Amino acid sequence: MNKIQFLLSFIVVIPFFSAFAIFSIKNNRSFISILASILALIMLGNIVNLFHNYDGNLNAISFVNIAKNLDIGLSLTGVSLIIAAIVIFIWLIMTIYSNEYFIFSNDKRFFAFKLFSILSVGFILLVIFSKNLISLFVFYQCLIFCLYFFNAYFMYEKDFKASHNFTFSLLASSLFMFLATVLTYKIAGTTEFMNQGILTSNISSKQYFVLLIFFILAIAGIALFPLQLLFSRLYNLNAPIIIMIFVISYGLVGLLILLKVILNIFGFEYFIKYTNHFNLSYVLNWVIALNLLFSGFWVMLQKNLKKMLIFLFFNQLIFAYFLFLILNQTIDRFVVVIISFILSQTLIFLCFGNINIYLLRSREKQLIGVFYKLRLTISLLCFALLNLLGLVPAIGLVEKYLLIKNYFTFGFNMNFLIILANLFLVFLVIIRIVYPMVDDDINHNQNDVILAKKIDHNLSFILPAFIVALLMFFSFIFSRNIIDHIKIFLS
Amino acid sequence: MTSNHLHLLGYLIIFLPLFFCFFSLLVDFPKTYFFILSANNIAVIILAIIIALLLPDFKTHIVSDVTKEVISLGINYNISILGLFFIILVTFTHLLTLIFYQKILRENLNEDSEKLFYTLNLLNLFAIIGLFTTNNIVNLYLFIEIYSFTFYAISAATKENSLNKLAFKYFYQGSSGGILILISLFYLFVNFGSHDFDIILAAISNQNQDDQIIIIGLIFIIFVLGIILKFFPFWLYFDNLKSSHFLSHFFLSRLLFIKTYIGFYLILKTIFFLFGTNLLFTHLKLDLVILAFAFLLIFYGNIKILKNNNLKIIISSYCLIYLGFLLIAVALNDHYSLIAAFAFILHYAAVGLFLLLFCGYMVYNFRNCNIKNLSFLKSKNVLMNYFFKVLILLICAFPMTPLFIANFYLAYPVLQSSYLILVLIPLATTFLVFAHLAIKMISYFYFDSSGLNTISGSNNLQDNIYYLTSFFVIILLIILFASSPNFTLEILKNLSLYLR
Repeated sequence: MNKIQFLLSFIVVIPFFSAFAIFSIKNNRSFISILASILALIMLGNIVNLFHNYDGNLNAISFVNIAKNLDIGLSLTGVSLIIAAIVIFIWLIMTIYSNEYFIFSNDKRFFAFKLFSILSVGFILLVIFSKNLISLFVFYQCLIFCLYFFNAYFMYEKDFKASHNFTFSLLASSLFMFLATVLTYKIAGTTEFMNQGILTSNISSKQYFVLLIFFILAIAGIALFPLQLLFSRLYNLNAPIIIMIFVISYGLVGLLILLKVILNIFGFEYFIKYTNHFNLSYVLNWVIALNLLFSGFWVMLQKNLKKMLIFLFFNQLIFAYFLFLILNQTIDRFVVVIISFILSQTLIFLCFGNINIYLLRSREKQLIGVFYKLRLTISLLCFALLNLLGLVPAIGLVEKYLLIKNYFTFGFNMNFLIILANLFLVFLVIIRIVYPMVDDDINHNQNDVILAKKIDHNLSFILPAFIVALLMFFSFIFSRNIIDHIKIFLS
Repeated sequence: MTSNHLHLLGYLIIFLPLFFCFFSLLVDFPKTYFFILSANNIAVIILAIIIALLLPDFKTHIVSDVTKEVISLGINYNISILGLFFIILVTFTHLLTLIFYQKILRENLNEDSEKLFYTLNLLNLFAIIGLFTTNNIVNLYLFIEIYSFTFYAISAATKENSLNKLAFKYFYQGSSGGILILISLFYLFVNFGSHDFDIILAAISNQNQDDQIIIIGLIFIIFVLGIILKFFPFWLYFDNLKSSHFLSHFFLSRLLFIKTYIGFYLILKTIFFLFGTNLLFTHLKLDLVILAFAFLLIFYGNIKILKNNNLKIIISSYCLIYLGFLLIAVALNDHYSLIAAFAFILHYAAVGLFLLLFCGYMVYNFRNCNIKNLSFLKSKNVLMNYFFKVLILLICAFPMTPLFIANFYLAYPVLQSSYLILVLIPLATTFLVFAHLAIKMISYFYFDSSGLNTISGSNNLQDNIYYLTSFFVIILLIILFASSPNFTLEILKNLSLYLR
C-alpha cells in the first residue's frame, strides 16, 4: 500500500471510527461536539494532504473480489477529490454550526443527528471514491439505508406520507441503478471507471439510449426530493438537517454519480456526440430552461421564507446545470459553477438557520427590521444573495463573467435571454426577502434584542458563516489559479 | 479420501437418522432429554459430514449400485452436489427450528409425546435424506411416502386438535398428489423398463416420435401436478395460518421450508435429470408456459404481501414468490439464471427462515404476528432491535446478500433478450413490493406504539436464549455469505454447471 492508498483508506475509515466513538459516549454532549469537530478537521487536513500528493494515477484499492472484472474497492480521480473536499468542508461547517443549534432550538435529537450525519458522510465518501460502478452501487445502497433510518427519525413526524413516499422513491430509483450496472457489465464486460469511459466503441445507439434512461431514473429519486420537500410539510425541518439531507446527501451525491457516469462510463466526448445525435442537448436545453423559469416564478409566489429559500436552491441548481450546457461544456468551468453554487447556498442556509432560531424563540416573531438586531447574520445573507447576481466580489462574479464572455463570443441567443430573465426574477426575490428585514424596526422588545445579540455573536453560529463568506471572496481573488489547478487536476 | 471411505460416508449420511430412530424406540429412558439431544446431534453430525465433503471442491458423485434390485431402499444411492446442497438446507433448518422452538415444545408436549415426537422427527429426516440421495424412481416414491406419513404422524403426536385438522387436510390432498406421482413414475418404469434416472433420461432424450413426445409431456404435467399437490398446496397456506397456537407455528416451519425444499429439489431433479430440458423446452416449448405460470405466482404473492400485515401470510407469499423465481430461472435454462435459482433458494432459506423465527418471537410476546405491533421491540432486549434492523436490510436485497446475487444473475442474461419483459416486470415489482414492506415495518416500529400496550413474554435473557441464539446463527451465516462472495459464487456456479 503506497502513501496515497493509505491516506485514502484513512479518510474513509475516520467517519466510521467517529460514529463508533460517538455511540460509546452518547450522554456527553460537549465531548461529542469537540470530538466531531476535531475529526472533521483531521479529515480536512488529510484531504489537503491528498491534494498535495495526488499524482494523477488511480491508486486503486480492492477490498472484495466477487467475480471476473467485478470487485469492490476505492480509487482516486481528480473529480472525486474535488467533490470530497467540498463534502468534508461542508461537514466541518455543519459540525461547528450544529453544536449550538440544537441547544438553542431545544431539539433533543442532538446525538442522533451527529451519529447519522457522520455515518452518512462516511458512506458519501465511499461513494465518491468508489472505483467502479458496482462499488458505487454497493456504497450508494449503504447510504440510502443509513438515510432511510435518518429520514424515519427526523422526517416522519413532520409529514409521514411525504417522507414515506420519498424513501420509497429512493429505493425505487436504486432499482434502476442496479439495472444500469448490470447492463453496463453486460455490454462492456466490466464496470471500472476509466478516464475515457468504457462504452466508447462497443455500444449501439439503442443500447446507449436505454442505459442513459436507466441512469437518469437512477438519480430521479434524489432529483425529486426538492419537490417532495416543497409540496409537503417537510420544509419545516431544521436548517442543519436540511443541509445534511439536501445539500450533501442528495445534491452532491446525485451530482457526483451523474459526473462519474458521464466522464468515466460513457466518456465525455462520446456523451456529447450521442446527446447531439439524439438531439438530447436541444431537448435538455428547453427542459432545463423551462424548469428555470418555472422555479423562478414559484419562488416569487411563495409567502413562507423557508419555502422561498428552498425553491431558490432548486432554481440555482437548475441554473448550474444550464450554465454547464451553454458554457462550451467544459468541466473545469462547470466545477467553478458548482463551487459557487455550493458556497452561496451553504451561506444562505447558515444565515437562514440563525434567523430561524431567532423567530423560534423571539416573542414578536417577525422579520420586519430584523437587520437591526441580527446585523452580522443579515449582512452575510445579503452577501450570499447578491453573490447569486454577481454583484459582490465573490465567486458568483466569476461565473457571471464567464457568461458575459460567452455572450461576446457567441452573440445574443435564446439561452442568454432566459438567463437574463432568471437573474431578474432572482433580483425580485432578493428584494422581497431583504426589504422587510431592513425596514424600520418596530419591535423594541428587549428580550428579543438580547436573544438576537446572543445568536449574532455566538461563535458557533457566526464563525462557519464567516469562513464560507471568506472562501467565496478568496475564490474570486484567486479564481484564475483555481481554474488552472482544476484543469491540471482533471487532465 | 478413498472411494471406499466415500461409500461408507454415503451410508452414514443416509442411515444415521434411521439408526438413532430405532435406538430411541427400543430403549426406554426416563427423561426425554436424550431424544432431544439425539435429534439435534444427528442433524449436526450430518451437517458436519456434508460440509467436510463440500469444502474440498466436491464436484463428483458418490454412487453406490451395490445391488440392482428394484426395491433396494437406501442401499442404492447417488449423492450429488445438488442433493448435498438440499441436505444442508434441510438439516440446518431442522436443527435451527428444534433449537428455536425448544421451550415451546417442552411446554406443550408431555413426556410420552415428546419421545414419539423426536423419534418420528428422526424417521422424517431419514426419509428426506433418502429422497435427496436416491437415483431410483421406486425408492424416490417410497421415500416421498415415508416422509409424508411421518409428517402427519408428527402432527398427530402432539395431540393438538387444530393441528390434526390441518394435518388431515394436507394428508388427503397429499395422497391425491402421491397417486399422481405414482401413476407417472409407473408409466416411466413400464415404458422404459428401468428405474434408474440416468437410463430414463437417456431414453427420453432419444425419443423422436411426436406422439410419444406428447404422451411423455402429459406424464410430466401429471407428475408436476402431483408435486404441487403434495409439496406446494398454497391454497392451504392461507388457511389456518392465523392460528396463534405455538405448535402450529413449529409446523409452519416444516411446511414452508422443509417441504418446500423437497419440492424445489424435485422440480429440478424432474426437469434436468428425469425428463430433460431437450424434451421440455426444445420439443414441447414448455418454457413459455412455465414462465407464464411463474409470472402469475409472483404477481399473486406480491399482491398478498401488499394487502397483508400478518407476517405468516407474508412469509407464505414469500414462498410463492421464490417458487416463481425458481421456475423463471429454470425456464431460462442459462448458466447465469441457474446461479440465480440457487441464490434465490439460499436467500429464502436464510431470510425467509429468519422472518418466520421472528414471527414466532412475536407470537411468543403477543399471541399474534401483525407487523403493526413491531414497536414492542423497543421494550425488549436491545439485541432484538439490531436483529430487526438487519432484517430490514435483508428484505431490501442489500448488496452482497444472496438476494442481490440472485437478482444480478437473473437480470444479466435477460437484458437484451426476448424474455426481457417477462422477467424484468416480476423482478422490478417484487423489488418494489419488498421495499414497501420494509418501509412499512420501519414506520410501525418507530411510530405506531400499539405494540407497547399489551406485551406478554419475558425479558429475561435466560428465557430468550433459544430465540437469540437462533437469530444470531442465521445472521452470522448471512454475514459469512455476504463477506465471502467468491466462495458463495463458486458453490452456486458448481451447482449450475451440474444441472447443465
